[in-house]
Amino acid sequence: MRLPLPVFILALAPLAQGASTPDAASQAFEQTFQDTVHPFIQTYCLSCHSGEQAKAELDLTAYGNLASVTGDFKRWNLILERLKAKEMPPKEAPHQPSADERQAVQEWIAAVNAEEAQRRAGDPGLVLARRLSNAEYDYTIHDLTGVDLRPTKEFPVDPANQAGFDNSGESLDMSPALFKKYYQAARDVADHVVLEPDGLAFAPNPMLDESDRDKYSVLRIVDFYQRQPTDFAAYFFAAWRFQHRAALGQPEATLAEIARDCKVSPKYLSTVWDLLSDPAEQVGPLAKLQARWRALPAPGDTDPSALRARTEEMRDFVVNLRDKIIPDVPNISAPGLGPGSQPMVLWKDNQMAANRRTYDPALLQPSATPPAPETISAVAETAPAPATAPATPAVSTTPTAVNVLAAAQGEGVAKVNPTPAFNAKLPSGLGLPVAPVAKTAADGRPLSALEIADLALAAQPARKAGGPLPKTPDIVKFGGVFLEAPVTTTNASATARMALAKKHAGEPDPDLYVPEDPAQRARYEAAFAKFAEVFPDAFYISERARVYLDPEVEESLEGRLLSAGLHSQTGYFRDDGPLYEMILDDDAKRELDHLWNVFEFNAAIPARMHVSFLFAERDSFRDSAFDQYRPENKAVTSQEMIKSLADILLAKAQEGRVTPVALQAVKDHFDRVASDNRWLEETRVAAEPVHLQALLTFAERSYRRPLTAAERADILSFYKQDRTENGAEHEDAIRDSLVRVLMSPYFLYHLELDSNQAVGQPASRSTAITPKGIPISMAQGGTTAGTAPASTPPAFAPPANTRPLSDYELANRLSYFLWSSMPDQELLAHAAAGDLHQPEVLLAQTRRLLQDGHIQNFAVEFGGNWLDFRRFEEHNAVDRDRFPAFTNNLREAMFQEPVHFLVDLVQADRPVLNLLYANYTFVNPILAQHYGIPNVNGAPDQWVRVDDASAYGRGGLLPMAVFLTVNSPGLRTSPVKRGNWVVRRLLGENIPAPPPNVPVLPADEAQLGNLTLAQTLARHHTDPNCASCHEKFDSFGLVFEGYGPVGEARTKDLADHPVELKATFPDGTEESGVAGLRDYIKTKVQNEFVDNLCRKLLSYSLGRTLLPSDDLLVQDMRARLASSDYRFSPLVEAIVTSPQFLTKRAPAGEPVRTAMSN
Amino acid sequence: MHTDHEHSHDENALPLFNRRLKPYVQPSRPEMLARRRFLRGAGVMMALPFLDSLSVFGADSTTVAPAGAGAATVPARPYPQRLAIIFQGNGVNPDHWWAKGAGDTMELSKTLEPLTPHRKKLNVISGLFNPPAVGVGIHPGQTGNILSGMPLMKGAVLRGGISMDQVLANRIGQETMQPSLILGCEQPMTGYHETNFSLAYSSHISWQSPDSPVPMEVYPALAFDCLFENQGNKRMQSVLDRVMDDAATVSRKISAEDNQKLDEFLTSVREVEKRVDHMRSEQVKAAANAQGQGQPLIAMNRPDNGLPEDIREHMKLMCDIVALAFQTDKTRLATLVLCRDLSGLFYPFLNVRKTHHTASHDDLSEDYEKIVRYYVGNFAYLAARLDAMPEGDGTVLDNTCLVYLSSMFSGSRHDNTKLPILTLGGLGGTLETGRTLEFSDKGDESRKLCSFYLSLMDRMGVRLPRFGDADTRLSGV
Repeated sequence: MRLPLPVFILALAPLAQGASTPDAASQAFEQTFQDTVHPFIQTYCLSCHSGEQAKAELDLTAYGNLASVTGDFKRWNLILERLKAKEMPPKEAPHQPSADERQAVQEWIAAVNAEEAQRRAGDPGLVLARRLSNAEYDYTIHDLTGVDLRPTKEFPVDPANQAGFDNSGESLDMSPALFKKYYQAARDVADHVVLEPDGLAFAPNPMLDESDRDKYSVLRIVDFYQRQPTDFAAYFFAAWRFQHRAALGQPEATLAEIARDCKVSPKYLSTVWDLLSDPAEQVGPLAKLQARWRALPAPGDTDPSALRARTEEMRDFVVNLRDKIIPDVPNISAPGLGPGSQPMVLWKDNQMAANRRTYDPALLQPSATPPAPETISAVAETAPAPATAPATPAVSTTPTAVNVLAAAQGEGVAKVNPTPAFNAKLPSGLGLPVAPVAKTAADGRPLSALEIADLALAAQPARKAGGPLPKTPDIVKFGGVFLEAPVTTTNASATARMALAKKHAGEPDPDLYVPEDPAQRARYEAAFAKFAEVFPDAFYISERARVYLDPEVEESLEGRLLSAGLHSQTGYFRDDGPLYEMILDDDAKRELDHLWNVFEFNAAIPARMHVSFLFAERDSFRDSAFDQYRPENKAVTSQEMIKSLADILLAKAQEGRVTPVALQAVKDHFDRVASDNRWLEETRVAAEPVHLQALLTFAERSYRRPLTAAERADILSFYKQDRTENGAEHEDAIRDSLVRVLMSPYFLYHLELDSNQAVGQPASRSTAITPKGIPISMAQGGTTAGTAPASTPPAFAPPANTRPLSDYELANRLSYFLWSSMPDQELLAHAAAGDLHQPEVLLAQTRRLLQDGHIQNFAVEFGGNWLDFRRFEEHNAVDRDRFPAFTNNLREAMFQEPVHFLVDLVQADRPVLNLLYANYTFVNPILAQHYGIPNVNGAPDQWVRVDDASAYGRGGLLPMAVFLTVNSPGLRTSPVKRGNWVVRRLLGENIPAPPPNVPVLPADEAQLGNLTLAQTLARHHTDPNCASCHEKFDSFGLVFEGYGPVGEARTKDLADHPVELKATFPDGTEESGVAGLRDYIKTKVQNEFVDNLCRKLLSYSLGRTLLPSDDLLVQDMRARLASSDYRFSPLVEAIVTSPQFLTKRAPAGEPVRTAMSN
Repeated sequence: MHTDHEHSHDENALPLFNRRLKPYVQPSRPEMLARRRFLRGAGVMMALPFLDSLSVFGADSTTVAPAGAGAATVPARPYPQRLAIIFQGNGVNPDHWWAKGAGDTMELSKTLEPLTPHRKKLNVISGLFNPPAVGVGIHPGQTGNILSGMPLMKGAVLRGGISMDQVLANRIGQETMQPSLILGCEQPMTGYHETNFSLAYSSHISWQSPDSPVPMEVYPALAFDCLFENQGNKRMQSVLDRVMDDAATVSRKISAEDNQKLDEFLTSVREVEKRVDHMRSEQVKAAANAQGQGQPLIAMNRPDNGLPEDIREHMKLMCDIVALAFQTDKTRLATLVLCRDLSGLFYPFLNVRKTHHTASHDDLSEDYEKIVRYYVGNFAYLAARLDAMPEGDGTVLDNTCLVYLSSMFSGSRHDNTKLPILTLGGLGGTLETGRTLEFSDKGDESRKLCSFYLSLMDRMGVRLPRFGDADTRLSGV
C-alpha cells in the first residue's frame, strides 16, 4: 500500500535551520525523539521507507532530530494517522511494535504538533502571489466591464490545491501557452469596448463590424422605449385612483405619489388629469372622453377588473379617434431624387414627427345636425363582462387591430376588412378570461378597494406598459435583451395609421362631427387640437417600413428597428418627441439623449448614411459630374464634398420642374448631413482626451488600487507610442491600451505589494488588527495537549516578519474571499478612507458583502469546489439514451440546487448543520418534476423552497441529485464513489488513492447477474487489502441505493433487483437509507463534519493550504459555531478578524521566526 | 480501461507526491513542447508559420504520401491544403454558363472561356442549391447564408449560422498567422432590403457566429499589412514590453517566494517574445532561401493607402494578396467577395453604364455576359498566380481548392434553385479535377450545397457529422 503524503509546500527549510537554541520544552521533545521515536522508526519503518526506493516516496532516514520533524509536520501528521489506524506497519510486516511503543510515538507526535500550533498561532503563512483563477478572472471581467463575457471558457481547467480549491498560489501556475490565452482573452474583452462621446463602455457583443455596432445601440434604445409607460389606460387608471384617493384610503396622496405607485410618468399624469378634470364645458372628443371618465365606477361599486376594462375602453376610444385625424404627409421628389431617395424620405419622416401632436382639420366632418349623444352608461353595459374583458396589450395594438377589436366588441366604428396579416396581429388575449381576483387577503381579512384594484392590475394577463415582453418560442436573446422576432410596439406603424386616416376620410363618422357654423366649429377645432396635443398619435416610433410606399403592403415588414424607412440603405431616424417632451423626466431625457449620441457616434451613423446614399443613388448618378463622389472615397463626408455635391444636385433639381418644398428639402438635407458629419468629426476630436481619462479609470479599477503617477504616465505613453510608432488609429490604440492593462501582472495577479508598512513590528494599525479576543478564546478553546500548560496561555504576538495588510490589500482579500471578484466602489472607498481595518467597519463590510448578490459566486466557487460539483454543467457521463430525463436543463437545475441552498444558508445565516439535516431544499419546475414534487410551475428560473422535502426523499445536501449523479459512472450507481464523496468531501477523511490493477465492476447494473451491487462489492472486498479502505466508505454509499444513476428515487435497480438500503458503518452500527446516514453522522461523526467545514472555509479564504499553526483558529471557529447555534456568519467573522487574514509575511528574505528557536 | 473504475475517485485523490515535492520548482511545461498553440482571431497575428516544411523555403520536409480522398485519418501533409471562396453577387448570364466534356478537351462557354488554360484543374459544377436560401425572399436572403446553409432571421436582429470557412478557421486556422483572410472589393452595407432582410446579409458571406459577420477588409493596403507589416505582432510586442516592465517593478517589491511565482509570468512573456522574434527571422530566412533556389517569391509592394480608383486594380490586388498569403502560408483560408449581392459596382471599362445589380436584371444581355466574364477572368487570374508557384512536384494551385460561387443563377428571375459553381485545383490530390458535374437531375436531397461543403471539409481533415442543412456528403464530387 502506498502512503499518500501532502505536497511539501513552501519554504520550510529555514525552520529547520533555525532550531539551534532549543528551550526546555523542545529539549524534552528532542530527548524523547532520540530515546523513543527514532529507535521506533529504525526498527519498524526503515526497511521499507528508506533510500531511493522508499515506499510511498517516504524516506524516513531524512528525520534525525526534532527540527527535521517540525520542518515537515504535515507528513508527520499523516504518519500519526496511519499509526493510529494501525495501518502501519502493515499487518504482514515481520516486526510489529507493542501497543505501548505505538502509543508513545503517537503521543509524541501529537504533543509536538500541539506545541507547534501554539507557538506559531496566527502565522499568516505564506500566501503566494498568484494569478487570478479562471473563475476569478471571469467574475472580475464581469464586474469591470459590466458584461458577462467569460473569456476563460476555453482555458484549461485550473488545478486544485490539496484542500480542493483552485484559488491558491500552490496550484495556480502560468505558462507561455496560458499567457497567450490571456492575451487572446484580453483582446476579446477589448473588442467589446464601445467608444462613447463621454467615456468608455463595454457591449455584450464584439464591436468590430458595423452591424455589431448598430445592433448594440439599436437594441438598447428600443429597450429604453419599451420600458417607458406609454399606455393611456394606465394613466386613466392612475387618474381614477387620484380622484378617489380618499375613498381608497389615501386622502393625502399627491398626484406624483399616485403616479409612482402606478408606475406612470408624474408629468404626463398631471397633463391627463388636467384634461379629464377640467371643469369647463367641453365639446367634441373632449366631451366624449370626459363623459367616459365621469362614468367610471366609484371604488366599491364594481369589480376591479371591470374598472380596468373601462379604462382600456377609454384608451381604445382615444387611440381609435386619434388615428382618424392624423395629417397626411405626401411623398415629394425632385429631378434626380425620387420619393424613396434619402433627402425625400427624411423630409417625410421629419414632417410626420413634427405632426405627432397635431391633427388635420380637413378630416373633420361638418354637419348641420349633431349626432345622437352617446350614452356612456350604455357603453358600459354593452361592454364585455369583466370576466371576459379583452386583454388588450397596449404595446402590440396596431390601429388596425384596434379597429378590428373594437368592431368585435360591437362598437360603432368604421368597418374594416381585416386581412389575415391584420388578424394575426390581434392581441392574443382577445376573449380570454381575466384571471379571477381574490377579494380576501391570505389571512381572511377583506381587501380594501385599493388592494383589489392593484390585484386586478397584477392579474392582467396583458402586458402592462413597460413590463417584460411576453415570451414566445421565437424569442431571441441578444446581449441580455430579450426581443421577440419581430418586435411589435404600439408605436411601430404610425405610417400605416396615417394612411388609414386617409383611407377612411370621408366615411361618415360621428366621432369626426363638427358644426357647420364657423363660430361653433372653432370651439370644436380647439377641442380636437387640445385632444391631439395631449394624446399624440405615437409617443415614439421604434420601427418603420419604407415610408414612401403603400403602408398596407409595407406593414408586414416590421422589425426594422429605428429605421428611417429607406430602401436598401443604411438609415436611422429618431422620432420620439412626444415621449421626450411629455413623459420623460430630466434624468430619463439625459439617458435617452446619451443612447442616441452613443449610437450616432460609435456607429458613425451620419457618415455611413451619407455613404449609403451615394451607393443607393449610383444608378442615377451616372453623370461624370458625380465621379468624385464614389463611396469608396473616404473624403466624401468632408464638409467641402458634402457641399459641392449638394450644389450639383440643387442645380440639377432646378433645371427640371421642382416644387419649392422639394427644393428646400434637398437643401435642408445637405445642411443637416454637413452639420451631422461636422458633429461627428468634432465629437471624435473632443472625445479622445475623455477616452484617455476613462482608460486611466479603467486601469485603476483593474489594478484594484490607486495608480501611481508613474503608472498613469506609462499608460498614456503606451497609447501615444501605439499611435505614433505602430500607426494605430485612436480606437485601436484604446483597445491596445486596454489589452496592455489587462495583461499587466497588476491586474492578472493577486499581489500584496504594500511596502509602506514597517516590517516585523505591529504598526499603529496592528493594535486594531490584532484581535485581542482571539488568542484568548483560542487558548480557552484549545485543548493544548502536551507541554504548554493550559493555565498560562501565551499572549498572542504576531509572528516575526509579518506586517498588517494595507486597507487596499484587505479590501481585495475580502472581496475575493466572498465574491471571487474585485472590490466594489464602497469597499474601495473604505480602503481609500483608511478605515477598513477597524473591526467594526470590517465586520459591517463583511456583512454587506454576504448579503450582496455576488455571494452566488461564493456558493459556486467555495461550495462547488468543496463539494465537487463545480464542473457539473459540463458533466456528460450520463447515457442519455437510457436516461432521457437527463436533459441539459435538468443538468443545469441539478447544478443550481446546492447553489440556491448555500446562498440561502449564507444570506439567512442558517445553521451550517442544515447542510446535512435540513428538511428543505430548493427546486425549479424541472428539478421538481425529476423529484416528483408537485405544483411547482413556471419558467426554469422560478426557484422555490420546498419544505418537508423528506416526503420526496430530499432535504439538505446528501440526497441532492447533483451529487448522486456526479458519483455514478453512467449506467449504474457507485456506492464506492458516493461513499467516498461523503467521507472525503463532507467528513474530511483522508482516503488513500487506490492501488493500480484492481478488478473492475461491470459498467451496467443490468449486467450484474444475480447479485446486487452491494453483494458484488462485498465479494470484491474479500481481499483484505481492499477491505481496509473500502470499509471506511462503502457503507456511506450503500445507503444511497434508493437513488439511481441520475439521482432519481427508485425501489429497483436497473437489473430489476429490489434495492438494499442497509449498511454497516465502520464502527458496526447498522443503519438504513439517507435518514440512517444522517443519524449515524449526528451521533458519531458530526464533529468531523464541522471540523472539515471550518478547515475548508479557512483554506479557501486564505488561498493556501492550512498549517499546524492554523489549528487554534480552527478550534476557535468550532467554538464559535457551537456557541451560536452553528450559524454561518460567526465562521466568516472569525476568519476575517484573524491574524491569518489580516496580516502577511513580510517580503524580506530573512529567516522566518520558527517555533523552536526562541 | 480504468477511467470509469471505482478507484478513480477524482483527480485530487491522486497520490499527492506525484505532484511537486520540492518547495518550488520551475514548472516543466509539457504543453510548451507539445503541440504549438497559437493565438486566434481577427486582429491577432501571432503564430509560427508553417515555413519549415515548405520546400520553397528550402527547409527539409519529411515526405508523406498525399492522403487519398476519404482516408480515415489525415496524415501529415508535405504541403498545406488551402481553400479560397471567390464570390460574385447577382448571378450569371445563364445562356453563356456551361461546359461539356472533360479534361483537356473540355468545351467551355463564352463566359467560362478565361478558364481554358486551366481546364485540367477545373470542375464545372451545376445544379447544386442552398435550400434555406430558396423561397425566403430575394437578394440578402439568398446570400447571407450561402456559406452556412442556415435559415436567416428577418428584421433588426441578425441571426444565421457560422460559415464553413470559419468552421475551418476554428479547426485549422490556428496553424497559421491568420486563421482566415476575409476580403472584399466593395464596402459592406447595413439597412434593409424590401424583403426585410438586413443588407448585412447581402454584404457578408463569412460569419464568425450566427449573429456576427467577420469584418471584411476592403482596403488592399490594410489587407497586405495584416500579412506582412505584422501590425498585430508589433502591437503585441509593445504590450509585452510594457508588461515586462510592470513585472520587473513588481519583482523588486515582493518576497523571494512570490518572485518565484512571478518568474513563471516573466518566463512566459519572454517565451512569447521569443516566438515573435523567431517568426520574424523565419520570414527573413524563408525569403533568402527562396531566392537561393531561384524560385521567386511573389514580388508585391505594399499597395497604396485608400481604395484603388479602378475596380480592376482593386480586384487584382486582392487576388494577389490571396495568392501571396497562400504561397507564404500566412493563412490557408480566404474568402474574397469580389462584388457583393445588390452590388453597386460600375464597369465603364467594359463599356457598360449600368451598375452591377441593375445590369443583372437584364441577365441575358450581352452587357451582363461581359460583366460575368470579367469576374471569371479574375478567378482565372488568381488560379494562374497560384499555378505559377512551384510546390513539390506541382504548384500551389494543386494543393488548393478555389471555389467560385454566386448567390443565384439568374438575376432577372432571382433564381437560386441551382447555383453556378466552379472549382480550380486539386486540394492536395484529394479532389479529382477536369470534370463537368451535373446535379440538376438528382433529387433535392442529393444536391445540397452544404453536402458539397461537407465533402470539401472532409478532404481538409475536418469531418463533421452535419453542417448547415446537410448531414450527408455530396455523392459524385
